[in-house]
Amino acid sequence: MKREFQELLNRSFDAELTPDENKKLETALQASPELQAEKQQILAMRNLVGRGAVRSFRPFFSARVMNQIKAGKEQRTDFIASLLWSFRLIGAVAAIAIAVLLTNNIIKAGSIAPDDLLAMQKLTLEETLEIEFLPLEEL
Amino acid sequence: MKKATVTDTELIARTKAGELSAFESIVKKYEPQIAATVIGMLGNCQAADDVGQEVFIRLYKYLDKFREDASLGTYLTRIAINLSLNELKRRKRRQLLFTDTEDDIRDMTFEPNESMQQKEEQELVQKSIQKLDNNFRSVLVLRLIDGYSTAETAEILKIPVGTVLSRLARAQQKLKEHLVPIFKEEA
Repeated sequence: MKREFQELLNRSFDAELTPDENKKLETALQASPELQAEKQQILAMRNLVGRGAVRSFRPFFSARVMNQIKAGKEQRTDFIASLLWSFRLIGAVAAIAIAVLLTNNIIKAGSIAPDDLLAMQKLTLEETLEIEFLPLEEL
Repeated sequence: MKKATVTDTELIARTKAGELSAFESIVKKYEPQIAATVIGMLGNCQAADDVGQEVFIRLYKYLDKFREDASLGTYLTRIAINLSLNELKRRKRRQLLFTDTEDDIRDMTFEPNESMQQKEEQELVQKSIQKLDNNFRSVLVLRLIDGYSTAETAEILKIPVGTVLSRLARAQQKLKEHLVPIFKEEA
């Protein structure tokens, strides 16, 4: 069997042949019982492959997919909920710590002035600008 | 009473709106097509079932990214082929590491309504397809099992049409060698 005809035959199942190629193949098919047998075999094989395909997964496939999706959704919701809970917890602890510090500052200073609450040192403008210059010899 | 046909677009819109039953309809509608692709690629095994589930879970996760420039079936098939090829690579690595047997692949299930002959045919076809290289296998599954045209197959696999045709011819030739006993009877 000529390789050219074999290739044409293979291609004829999956692509459109030109009128010239079609004619060539037809003539070759009429002349060669071998090529005819080959065509029959390919046809039979293609039918068999199509028929042999399994077209369903194991039973309750869609239910399993939906369960996984629902489980994934719940997991995500759980994650967000636990994240919110963690933030609330951190917030509460931070609020308590701030309250304790402020109380401590008030007790120490004996007043509730904002500076005392924040334990800020009382400095005058001059004091903040006061810079001690070292004598040159000491440098 | 005539049952109204719901389009994929409607089902997608309803899923996006949070209606899970709409997504279940998509799963049921496309299960046969995706099963044919994945089982064609991997054989009838637990891994095929897992990959099948993953295909739909991915679709659900990334539904917002689905632009409907391709049909939903083609989009799902593309995911199925990619995930199956990943599974085949994993399988190959496992085989290299542990000289794995093909137990998983042989894990066949019997459907009560299938005849023995049909089951045998399916097994033989699947085993023969499993013997093909991944490249030949994917082309063959898409063209002969899923029934995509050569142009669609090329588009799904992102390869030229000419490559699809040459791979098909080679795959067909190899498959024919494995299936000789059956199709001689058929012919």
